[in-house]
Amino acid sequence: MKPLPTPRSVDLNITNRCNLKCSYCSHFSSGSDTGTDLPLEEWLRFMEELNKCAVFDVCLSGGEPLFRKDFRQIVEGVVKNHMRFSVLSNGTLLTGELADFLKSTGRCNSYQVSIDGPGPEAHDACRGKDSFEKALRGLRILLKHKLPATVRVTIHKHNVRQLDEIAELLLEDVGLPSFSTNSAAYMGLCRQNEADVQLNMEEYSCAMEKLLKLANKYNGRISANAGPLSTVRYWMNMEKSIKNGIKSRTGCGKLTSCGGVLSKMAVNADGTMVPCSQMPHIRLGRINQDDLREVWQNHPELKRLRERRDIPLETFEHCQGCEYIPYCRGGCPALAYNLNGEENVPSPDACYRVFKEAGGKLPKLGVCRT
Amino acid sequence: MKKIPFANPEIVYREDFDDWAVLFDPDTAETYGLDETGSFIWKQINGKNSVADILQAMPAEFENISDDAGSQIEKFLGEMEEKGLIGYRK
Ligand code: SF4
Ligand code: SF4
Repeated sequence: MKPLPTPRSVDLNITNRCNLKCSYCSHFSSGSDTGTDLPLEEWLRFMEELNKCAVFDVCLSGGEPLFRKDFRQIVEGVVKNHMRFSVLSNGTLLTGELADFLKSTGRCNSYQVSIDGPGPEAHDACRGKDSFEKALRGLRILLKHKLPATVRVTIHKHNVRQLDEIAELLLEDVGLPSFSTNSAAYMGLCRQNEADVQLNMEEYSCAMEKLLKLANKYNGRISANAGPLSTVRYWMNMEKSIKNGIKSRTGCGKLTSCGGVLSKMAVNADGTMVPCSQMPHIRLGRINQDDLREVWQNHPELKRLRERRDIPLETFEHCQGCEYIPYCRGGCPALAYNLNGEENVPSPDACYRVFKEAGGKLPKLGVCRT
Repeated sequence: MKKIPFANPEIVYREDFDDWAVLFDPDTAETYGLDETGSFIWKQINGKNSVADILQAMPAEFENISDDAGSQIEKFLGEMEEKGLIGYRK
């Protein structure tokens, strides 16, 4: 598939810093944790280049983007350069005044707050004392100002048994239209805190079953691009395909899971251009020194990641003889790198055969004891 | 009197694939696809060219201009005006 001539959207990790230090944070201790924040002028200059490249949206993240004192000026730079923005935030630093400002721009696509529990216990276990109350207050400010608030629930050992209560809080008490889910993945700080944070096989299976039921109960108001809900749907589709005699699924049989490198890229807080926030170790150039269009179109590392989509799964020893090849897309390259040390291989995290061989069962088999 | 179209300065013009382009309105988040002819017309809208000027520039770019090309351009510009993508100087 041909990439676009320039990225359509760019993720800007505008700061390395954060007021929290969550035990599964994918930023701290990863390649994006560079210790340097670019000055405002550099971001503003880069936004002019984004405008020249006709980039439509940026995603402002970090660290915690609101930790920057000049966050407002950064948003003004986005608006001045004809773009829209979304924000990924822990929600704890948001004030009514800032929400007023964000609303007044008319350019906010979404403002995502992380909420991990129905109350302080499960949320603060990984995110630190008082962070639940502050995040919930931030979320309520967004709603009060009619900003497009979204919530991401990251599932880990401390909240996996409370998914019912979390859904009730967010969809019934707070009244959000929907929320998305993920699970703590083997990246950043999670690599050090794996035992305390990451779901084991039984917990992962339990989360899959529970989330499927909840997504059904709340009529699709719970979504996922990664983690247990997304994975269970993907694997159930594989089983369904085999059962229904479908020989293969479009786009499957090769490493096609990630389309990110065809339409978007990211920038670390120190100005290093990278293919994706989750692949901060692949350094493509430096903003305001290297030409964005040139990097996007010709950097050999981006070409290598794009060529991934043409690599058949059957060429991997790992996949030899697997009956799921015609329905498999190989998973996220960033996770593959974190687990295997290279990107252009299937990610063991998304491998149904590995899951089954380790005793994992899909929900209909009733593994969840909660 | 000549009608001179001008582009809404907020609109972003983006060429994605051969001969196809997209107009993006950052205030509404709406996108509008343009084919080769639409792209050509958009590039002619500079606040100076009139509709007649745009029509006159077309044969250098396209073969087989139809007899009603003028009214087609007017119609296309009318739609763009409705969507807030352009305005007119008189
Ligand atoms: S590398 Fe992974 S996280 Fe990044 S865009 Fe691709 S699939 Fe998504
Ligand atoms: S072995 Fe795993 S990654 Fe390979 S095709 Fe089978 S399910 Fe997919």
